[in-house]
Amino acid sequence: MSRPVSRPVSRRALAGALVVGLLVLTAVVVVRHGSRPATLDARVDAVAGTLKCPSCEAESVSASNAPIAQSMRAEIRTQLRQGRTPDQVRAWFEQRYGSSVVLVPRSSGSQLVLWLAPFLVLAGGAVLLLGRRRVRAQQAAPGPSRGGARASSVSRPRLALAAVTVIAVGAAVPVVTRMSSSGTPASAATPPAGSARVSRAAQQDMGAGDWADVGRSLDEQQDYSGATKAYRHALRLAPGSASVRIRLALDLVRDHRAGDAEPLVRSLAGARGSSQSAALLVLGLAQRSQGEPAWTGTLRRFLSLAPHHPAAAQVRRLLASRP
Amino acid sequence: MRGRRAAAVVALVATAAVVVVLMTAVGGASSGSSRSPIIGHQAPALAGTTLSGASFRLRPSPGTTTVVNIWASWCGPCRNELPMLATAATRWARHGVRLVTVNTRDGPVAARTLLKEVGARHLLTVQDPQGRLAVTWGATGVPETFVVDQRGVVRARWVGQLRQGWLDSQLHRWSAQ
Repeated sequence: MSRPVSRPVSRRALAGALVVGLLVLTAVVVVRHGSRPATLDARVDAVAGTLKCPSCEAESVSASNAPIAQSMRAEIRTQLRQGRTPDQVRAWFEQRYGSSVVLVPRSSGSQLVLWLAPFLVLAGGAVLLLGRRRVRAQQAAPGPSRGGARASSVSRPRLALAAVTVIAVGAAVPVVTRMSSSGTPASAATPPAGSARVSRAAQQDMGAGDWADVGRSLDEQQDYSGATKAYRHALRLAPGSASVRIRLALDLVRDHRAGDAEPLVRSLAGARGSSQSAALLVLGLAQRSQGEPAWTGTLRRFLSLAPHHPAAAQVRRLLASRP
Repeated sequence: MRGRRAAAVVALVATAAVVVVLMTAVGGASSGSSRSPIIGHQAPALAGTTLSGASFRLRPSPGTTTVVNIWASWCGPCRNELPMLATAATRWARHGVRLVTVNTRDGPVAARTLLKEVGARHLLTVQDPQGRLAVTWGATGVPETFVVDQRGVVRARWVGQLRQGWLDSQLHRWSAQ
């Protein structure tokens, strides 16, 4: 008599919980994707809004006009152009400024516990409250009966289901939110050196200076192959730029492609001008890498033109140690 | 009654602790020796063009301790500390200490003018017009000074106008003298 009554109730409760859970998850995903910033400026602003200005009183990098906040925005812009995700950018800042610089919680580790704590407390409270009300209702009933015992046995799975639903939804919200905002799991926050590349979408509005910036940044990460690609983009947009030409040639030498470097700097090394000494230095290094005997003469010319250049001492050592 | 009082005291202490933690987290950096997440780790990249137009890249060098100072000509405390830094650079050079300054969010003309004014033209200064080098080093403002040991590990950081006593004590500790 009791079973045909309790089964439909449990199924209804399960279906209801599933529907609520799915609706919440769908809403979170739709809201996150719908509000995803489209332009680079908006993406910079979105990431800057999640970082704390380190020299300000409770202000985000996005809201602050402090010089360091402006510098941080410039760094965010460069890293997003290189194709890094917001999580990767935040992790980069966290390495330098500590965890307090990040204003949004992570979807892993101890911060996830903080996110889940309110939901867990809420679920626990709901379970206790409902259980207590159920016991009181049973106590108020006129004497023990089969029906009372049934009510008690039916209430437990329903309460457990309610608690599990609340916990599952609570856990899913931060995880789905963070994954939809970053596109990558938190464990991939720090990319290996040299993995940074410029995304196709970001390439469209980049000028020669931007590409040169990307090249310099990849230089700093000692990703010479990536840097040469960036400098080639810069040179295509500004073919007359001697500094980009010299940087490209130097990175080609570092990337064991000295043969490609030589023609880039040969004309600059022969022409008088502010770039001549740097061009001679790179040309000499390229010739040396290829075993051309002319390298000593080229580097001697470099030394005569720029005896106080920071590389001069090293060049002298190179010349002194030649076989 | 006793239990209630004890609970009230515990709540008060907990609230005070939270307030102190929040104030520490929210407040800006003040002058002095300061912890930084980069201390104890390899020095971040420091590469760029110097004020004399040459390229520079910081590389660990056996026997050489490096002081990295981040400054700007528009910053008062930076102007005040530059003469002391210039003297220290000369005095400590024979003990294998090199001083690299990073001129951040500034123009080369203003930087050169100030260096000339204070007799610090010989300082090796890397240009950082967008402030990206300062951010790479985790600087919270200017001036800030870092000491990097001979293995290229960041050992100490000073926020604000530098004190000679602090710099000398750090260099005594980390240089190869």
